[in-house]
Amino acid sequence: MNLTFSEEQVLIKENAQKFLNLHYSFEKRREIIEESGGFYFKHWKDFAELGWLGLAFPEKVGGYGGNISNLMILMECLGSNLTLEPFTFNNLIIGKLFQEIQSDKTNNFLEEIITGKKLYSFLFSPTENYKNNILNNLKIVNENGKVFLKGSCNCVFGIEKFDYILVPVLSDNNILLYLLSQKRNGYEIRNFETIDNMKCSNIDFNSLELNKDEIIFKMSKADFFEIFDYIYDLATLSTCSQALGIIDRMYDLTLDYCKTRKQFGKSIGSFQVIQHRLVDMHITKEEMRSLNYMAQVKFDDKIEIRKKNISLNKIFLGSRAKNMAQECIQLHGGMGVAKEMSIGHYFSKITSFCTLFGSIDYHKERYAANDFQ
Amino acid sequence: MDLNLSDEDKNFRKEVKDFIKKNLSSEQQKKIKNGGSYTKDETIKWQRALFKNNWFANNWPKTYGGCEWSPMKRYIFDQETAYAYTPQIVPFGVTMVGPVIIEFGTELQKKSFLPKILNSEHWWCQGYSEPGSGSDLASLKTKAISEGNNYIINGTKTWTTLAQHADWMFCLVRTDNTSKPQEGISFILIDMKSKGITVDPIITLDESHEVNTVYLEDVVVPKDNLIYQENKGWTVAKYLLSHERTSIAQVARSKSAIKKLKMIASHEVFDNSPLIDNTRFRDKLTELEMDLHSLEYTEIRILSEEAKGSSPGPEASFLKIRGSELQQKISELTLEAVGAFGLIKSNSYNQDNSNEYFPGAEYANNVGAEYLNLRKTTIYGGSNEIQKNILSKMVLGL
Ligand SMILES: Cc1cc2nc3c(=O)[nH]c(=O)nc-3n(C[C@H](O)[C@H](O)[C@H](O)COP(=O)(O)OP(=O)(O)OC[C@H]3O[C@@H](n4cnc5c(N)ncnc54)[C@H](O)[C@@H]3O)c2cc1C
Repeated sequence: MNLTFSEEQVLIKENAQKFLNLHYSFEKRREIIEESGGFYFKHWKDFAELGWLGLAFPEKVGGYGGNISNLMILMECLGSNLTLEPFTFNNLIIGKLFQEIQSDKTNNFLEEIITGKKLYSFLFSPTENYKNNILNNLKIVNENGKVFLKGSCNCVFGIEKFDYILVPVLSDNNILLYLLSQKRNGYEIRNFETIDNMKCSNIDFNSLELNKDEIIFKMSKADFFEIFDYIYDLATLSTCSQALGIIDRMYDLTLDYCKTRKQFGKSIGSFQVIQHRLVDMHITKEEMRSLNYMAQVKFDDKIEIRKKNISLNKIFLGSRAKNMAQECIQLHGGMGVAKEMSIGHYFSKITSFCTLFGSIDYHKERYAANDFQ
Repeated sequence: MDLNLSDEDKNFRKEVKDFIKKNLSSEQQKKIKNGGSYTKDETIKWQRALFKNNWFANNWPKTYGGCEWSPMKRYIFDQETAYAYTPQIVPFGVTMVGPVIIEFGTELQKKSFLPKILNSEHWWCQGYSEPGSGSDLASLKTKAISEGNNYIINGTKTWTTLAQHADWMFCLVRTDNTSKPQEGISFILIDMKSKGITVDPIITLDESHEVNTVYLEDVVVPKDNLIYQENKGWTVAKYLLSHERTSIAQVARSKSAIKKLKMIASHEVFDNSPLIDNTRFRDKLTELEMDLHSLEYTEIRILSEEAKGSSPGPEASFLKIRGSELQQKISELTLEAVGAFGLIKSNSYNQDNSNEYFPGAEYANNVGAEYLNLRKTTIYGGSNEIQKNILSKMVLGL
């Protein structure tokens, strides 16, 4: 077992940090938010040029490796600088789906994803109810010999803008995957801002007529969820990796603040009650990193082992890391709740990550369902 | 010892309910229940209705226009108004500076300020904290220099809640640089319309505008506005802080929040059944209710001791500690209960920075923002760390 970085990984990290510190400083990020009107793809092309959009995918489909640890190193960096592009949704999830289903067309789609030429999305809501939602929200309805897509889906991420959206629909016991162009009529999307500067959307299909040739794949329900559960877990881990980057950054900011903020003629970091809490934070962030690395290593192990490790990460994020983030705000005093400070932006993001990809109760069930091996 | 409601108390509860029905529309209540907030005008209107009913200054002696409620009446009033989502009385005037003026003010000060607090003509704010002086309040630097019958005041106050609405600010200023920090501070009332005052908004995590920075530049304040004696402001401030701490426990509001959380949990679905039936979730809810009960009974005990004549001492600090923690925990579990909808910015009726409408269930509106907003409760009114420092020194004798 080796839980240290390879040379290649050190390089990935250094390059990512170099780019992000230059283009995604807190001030630059604020400018992006103010200028973009909520459409956060300013650096998507740069991500493509840096090879990031291909990092999740193996060479045989045109990617740059598909090594999980390499990917998670990048995710951690993206978290550290609070990047706004919906990478998990518009790259990882949809790309992995195309990679796994492997039809004659998917390699073209993947190429467009990796080069950043086109934006693809997958229609689902990243909550613990994702399975039920996929199975129940949308229906195929036959009317006068024509086939329509009906239904709606709430809290979808990464569909604020897209060129194509991949829509899963249950038909008999199969999942049909339709690839719909953004130009199609018969659907309506409404976008809502979230507390962490993302866009969360509702999509309604009322009279979208489906064409046979829009089906890019058909598979049994069981096969589909075997693939999708894997991808969902990968996305969950990627969320936890971003959170790790955030927690690390919050720790640094807070430690620094406690060293420099003076009250009662001393730095507040000189008070023992604060020192102890900072030490607890230090332990928390180190444990969080250990869990993250272990989940990477075990990701392609047996399904139960993968699930247990992913849930462990998500539980840790939703409990210990969440508490730590709250402590970071607390130790900043009033400054902790001021929007002008970066610490609060990290806090909002952690809040969002705690919620997405399954609540803590859901993951506790999953975690408890399997023994450690 | 008697915790039962007397007939008088039962009648009073009914009176409060009727009063609410008469003075607050159900649309207004619904707006607040679903995450909105009251405007300045709505709040003032409510306060004036209370005043007309002689219910506004419940912590003042009758001679000054107060109603001298028993702790039980206060408790009933707080509970009913919280359940009904009424406006909250802005504490800076009637709860904070009012009792101070009654205790320390000159006849002239009482005459000129108390009536206008009572009829809500004056909106007050609290100018204690400064950029360099939060927990260590005694180190404050805003300077008041004596010049004839006036003080000339220079400095910066920050985190000043609702200063954007305020007509007056009670303020701690330094009048003596040479003695020990606590001994050179004075408590003074400043007209916010004075020349040289600038109020700048501070936007908080939930993107609301509650707090401000107040810049004071050569502001001329008549010496008549000094409360008590020059350099004795710390005595006044300490008196006031104990009043702030009891009201900050917010037990009634937390009870109302738990009630809402239960309603939400019975509507939300987990694993095909109501969330409230999920044991993991119920356990968390139960723990919060237990905490709330413990706090509530403790508050009642302290209030009844107070009724026997003892003024709120350092014990008030532990109400603040537990009360603020609880407010945060309830909002945290509420956010957990509503899931991803909690992440969507609210349609909060009167904020600029919100979505056109809210796509989820009404009860989920603003839940995320509320969680962010309530981080403040363990920080303001003297942070919880500072409360613990006070308790360990004053009560435990450490
Ligand atoms: C929403 C909001 C509204 C407010 N409204 C008002 C208002 O209307 N008027 C007003 O005057 N002020 C107001 N305040 C200010 C509030 O009183 C201060 O924020 C508070 O006193 C803490 O001061 P600080 O922010 O400077 O933090 P700091 O004093 O810098 O403290 C930072 C951290 O260090 C801890 N700490 C400091 N000293 C010690 C110690 N000796 N031992 C252990 N821990 C310590 C603190 O607990 C905190 O966690 C408000 C604050 C907020 C957030």
